[in-house]
This record gives sequence, C-alpha cells and structure tokens, in this order.
Amino acid sequence: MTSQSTIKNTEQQWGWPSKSLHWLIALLILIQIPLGIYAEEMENSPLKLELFGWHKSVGIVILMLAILRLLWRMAGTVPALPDASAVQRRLANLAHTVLYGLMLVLPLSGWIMSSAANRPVSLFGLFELPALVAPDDAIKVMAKEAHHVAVDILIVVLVTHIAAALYHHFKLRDTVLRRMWF
Amino acid sequence: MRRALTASLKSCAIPGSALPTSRYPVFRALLYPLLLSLLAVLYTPHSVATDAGKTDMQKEWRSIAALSQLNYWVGFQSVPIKGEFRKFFVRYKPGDTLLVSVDIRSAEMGDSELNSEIAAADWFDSKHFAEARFVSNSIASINDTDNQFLASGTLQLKGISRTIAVPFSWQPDGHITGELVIPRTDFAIGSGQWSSSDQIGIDVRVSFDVRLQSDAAE
Repeated sequence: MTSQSTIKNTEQQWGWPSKSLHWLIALLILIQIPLGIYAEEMENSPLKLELFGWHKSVGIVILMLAILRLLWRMAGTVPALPDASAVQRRLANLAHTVLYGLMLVLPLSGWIMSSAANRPVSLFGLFELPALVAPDDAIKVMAKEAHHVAVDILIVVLVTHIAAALYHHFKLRDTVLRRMWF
Repeated sequence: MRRALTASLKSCAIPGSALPTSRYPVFRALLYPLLLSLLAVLYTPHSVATDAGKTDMQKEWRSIAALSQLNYWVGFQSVPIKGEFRKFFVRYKPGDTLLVSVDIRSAEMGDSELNSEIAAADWFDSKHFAEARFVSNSIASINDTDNQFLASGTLQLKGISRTIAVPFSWQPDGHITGELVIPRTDFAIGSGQWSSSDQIGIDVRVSFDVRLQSDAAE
C-alpha cells in the first residue's frame, strides 16, 4: 500500500494490470503443477482424462494471460530493481526471463504434446483449439520430454523466486514484494 | 396472396385454351417457351442419371485395399478424434450378399498409447476378437434411386452380434461411400469405468470410402 495503483507501470511501482496478471498466473501455476503431476502418475481412467482436460484448459489460460502480460510489460516501463550487487541483479533478470519463457514454453509444449498424441485441447469444453501438429509419436515424445524438463526448471526457479521475494521483504525490508501487491 | 396465386395459375393455363388478352403479348409469347425450357432443365439431369448410372449387381465385386478407407470418429471430451482401420476388405456377391471383414488389430488412432489402450480388454479386446464382420441379408435401394442403398445385416464385433442397417452410395464405377453411427456400448466397447459418456462419447461415427473392382473386369 505504498501509493495509489496506476494502470501503467512506473519506475517505482507496478501498475494494476501487471500486478493482477502476476498474482492470477501465480495462483494458476500453483494449481497447475500438482494437477499435472498427479494426473500423470494416475493409471488410465476417465478421471485421469478429466484431470488432464482441466490441466490443458488451465494451461491455455496461463498462455493467454502470459502473452497479455508480456505485451503489457513491453508496452511500458518496468520498475527498477532495488540496489543490489550486479550479480544479484543479473540473477534476478535471468530468473524473470526464464519464468516468462516457461510461461510460454510449458503451455505450448503441452499443446504440441496433445496434438501429436491425437488428443484434443479445449478451453473447459467451451471451444476446441486447433491442433498444432499432426499426430506423430516422435514429436509427442520430444514435446513430453521438453514439458517435463521445463517443469523441473520451473519448480527450481519458482522456489528461488519466492525465497528471494521473502528475503527482500523480511530480511532486507525493501519494497520489492510490496510494490507487487495492491 | 391468394389473388396473386390465382393470377399466376391463370397465366399458366394450357395453350390453346381461352386466355385473357394480355397487354404484354411479347411477354406472353415468351412465357410458355421459358417455362417449358425451365422444366426441361430441371428434369433432364435426373432422367439422364436414371438412364446411365445403374450399378451392376450381377457381378462379383471386391475392394481394392490401397484405395479404400474405413474411418471412425469418437468424441474425446466432446471433440471428435479420428481413428481408422488399416486392414479390411469388402466383397459383394450377386444375391445381396455384402461382406465386410475388418482386422480390429489394425485400428490406428495416431498415437501409440491410444493404440495400445484401445486394444485392451475394456475396449476392442483385439487379442480375443481380432475380426469384426458384417454380412448383409438384404440390400434395398433407397427411394428407388440407382445408387443409394440400405444394407441390412448382422455386425459381429467383440463377440457380439447385432442387426444393423448401413446406408451407402454405390456408383457404377465401384465407388462406395457411406457413414453410420454405432453406439459403442452396443458391442461392449469401452466397458466398466468407460461405459459412461463422460469422457469418451458413446456414439461412434463410422465412415467408409471404398473402391471396388468387379471380378469380371480383371
């Protein structure tokens, strides 16, 4: 609650669209990872298909929100990183770049995996999305591998990201976490 | 409306009968030839087709595997996904005997996991029921047309026999096309936990595009 939320990002503060997208995507990712892992571990059953149906829908929503968020970020300024060592700043930038990249790579690799496996991708059953590739076992195996490696990287970077935010807030007592809140 | 109808009926009266005098003699002179040629255009193609395109059902026919397709679509979370049977044949013998034999093990759904899943006991159980077979006991032409038929007969699939009717078109050159809907649960395909339509639809649309050659033509 440092200052009035603006629509646009400023040098000090994230605008409310960026904040909303950050927390909305954060929530969806925290649902998405356990949902995907749980469904993957299941024996084949109607429930498994249903859970993957949800997983795919949530993934498509994340993809759309991530694209929106990136466009909004590129359209304006980005708040400056706090004073820290050059290494820390570089690491923070790297982590953010990786996170943005994964927000695109994970849904897209999942979508390709589904298409290559001749399974549909729909948005909560409301409408069907087009297949990105024709059914193909080799492409499916590659996309699946990419999806799994990407989620492993995501988990590591996410833990680091959250730990760093908490470190800034409780240890350094700066505005890094607060300026992302409303 | 009624008045307009009466008027138009009058204008169509038989030539030579007492016609009301028209203020537009040229129009009237042209009207009958126009109407007649319109009728001719409307009816000619039909009568031509009736004369020329009769499928020869006194010959034996058999399918050309490389030019024939047997596909099906099943709803996967309400979205139809395609499968096909890569090995099957069709034989026709005079006397309304149409035989379709399908190698169930050749079912292909574009994904190795789906393929092994549908071969399992809950689905096709193709280890025990490798062949599906349709044998007609009558072939009736639909609406007295020459190329539209309805074959009634028995489909044996996964050890279950049921009477089905298969509508199809059969062109004189041996090209057969058609489609029908088969509820998969009629043949215990997708049993147990899969018997509800929640994730995988019950109605399976089957479509075929088969090229037959007559034995005489060989």
